[in-house]
Amino acid sequence: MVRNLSVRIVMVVCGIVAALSQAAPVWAHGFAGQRFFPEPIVMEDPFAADEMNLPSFSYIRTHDARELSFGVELQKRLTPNLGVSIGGEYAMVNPLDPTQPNSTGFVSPEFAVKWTPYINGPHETVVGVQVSLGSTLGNHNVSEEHSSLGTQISFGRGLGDVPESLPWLRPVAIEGALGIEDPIGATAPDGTVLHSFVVLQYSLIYLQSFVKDIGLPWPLSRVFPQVEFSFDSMLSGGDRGRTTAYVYPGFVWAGKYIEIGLEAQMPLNDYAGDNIGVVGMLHLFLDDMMPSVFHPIFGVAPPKPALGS
Amino acid sequence: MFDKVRRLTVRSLLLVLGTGVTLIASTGPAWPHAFPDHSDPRVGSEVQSAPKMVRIWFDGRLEPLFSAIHVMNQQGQRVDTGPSGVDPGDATLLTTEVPPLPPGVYTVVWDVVAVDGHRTEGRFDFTIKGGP
Repeated sequence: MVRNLSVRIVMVVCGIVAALSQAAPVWAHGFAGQRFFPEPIVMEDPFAADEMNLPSFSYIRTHDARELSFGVELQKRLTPNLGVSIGGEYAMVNPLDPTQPNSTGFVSPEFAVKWTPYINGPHETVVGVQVSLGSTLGNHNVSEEHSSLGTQISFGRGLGDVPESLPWLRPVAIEGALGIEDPIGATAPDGTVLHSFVVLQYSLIYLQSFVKDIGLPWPLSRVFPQVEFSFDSMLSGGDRGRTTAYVYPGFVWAGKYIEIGLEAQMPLNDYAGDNIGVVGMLHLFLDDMMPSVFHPIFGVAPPKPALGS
Repeated sequence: MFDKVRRLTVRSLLLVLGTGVTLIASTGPAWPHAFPDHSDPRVGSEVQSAPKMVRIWFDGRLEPLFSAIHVMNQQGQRVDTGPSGVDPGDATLLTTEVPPLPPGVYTVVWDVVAVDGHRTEGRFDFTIKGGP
């Protein structure tokens, strides 16, 4: 545990040093080359950003309860590629067993540092690393009993450079993430969890702007049909070997200042239950709403005169 | 309790969607970080005769000093002859002039900075079927 924590601290320090040492132009958030990656609803994307979820929500009926939660998350960039975030939720849990009491309250907030060390424009590729700390500051009846430390590596890859014989494939983007979450504390009963995510997305604005203008009107041209997958696997503890898997078909719409998203939450295996839930969000692009306030604090290089001018 | 939860869920969904629709309708199609709205020739189009100009209309105003457009042939050679840049009368319009071009596939390359300082870039192809 101490070795894991030390490795993660070193990763964060290296990220901070690397990010602060590189002055970079202020790219619009979520871009790798000409590819815009909107914020997924379930997966944490690879980009450091000045953005806010206000709110996100989820509802699902599990084996033993109905669960509804509302979340808020604020992300702030320190440099163009390094940012911090804080997020919290308010949860309502209604057990299916009528003899059991309902539980409501604020879930323990989570703090995170995110670093985007690699963006390749021509190949529409981005890689991000995040370290997060789950606290025990929330209401105990809806929160974990112990703190947790999480590390995640994520990527995004647009298919804009596929052979020209496959033009309709170019608007496709794939994102993925792999993370480990460890409970902190000698008395923590739960084990280590492996979190895995995959996002498959089709960008209509990419189709219109870079492949073929098929005449889609606004706001339809700003829709991103997508499907997300999540897999939570217990690596230790009493539930070792158990994986809970969901698929989330839906869409996001990204506009001038906001993004909205809505997806169904559908079980993929027995551990995920039998019922379909729903997740959604209203996401704010703070750097576009208030650019004089929300921008990287350090390491911003001025724009250069454009090619050939 | 469950009915309350279900009502709250539905109301929450409606609130988020309603807020989103309101914000969408009130802000219009423009992106602060400028993105192409439409172009002439259109993205991925086939035109019968060679155009005299290539134009891209963006959904936000551009910074002239940091915005540019080029046209390349299939050999990767630049074929636009200028003047090129942001139109003085319309800060959302990026243009360049081209000479009479032979049939073939051409690539328009653009690189812009919007007035909010955000940079975006892109490229698209169009095809000339007939002669100049």
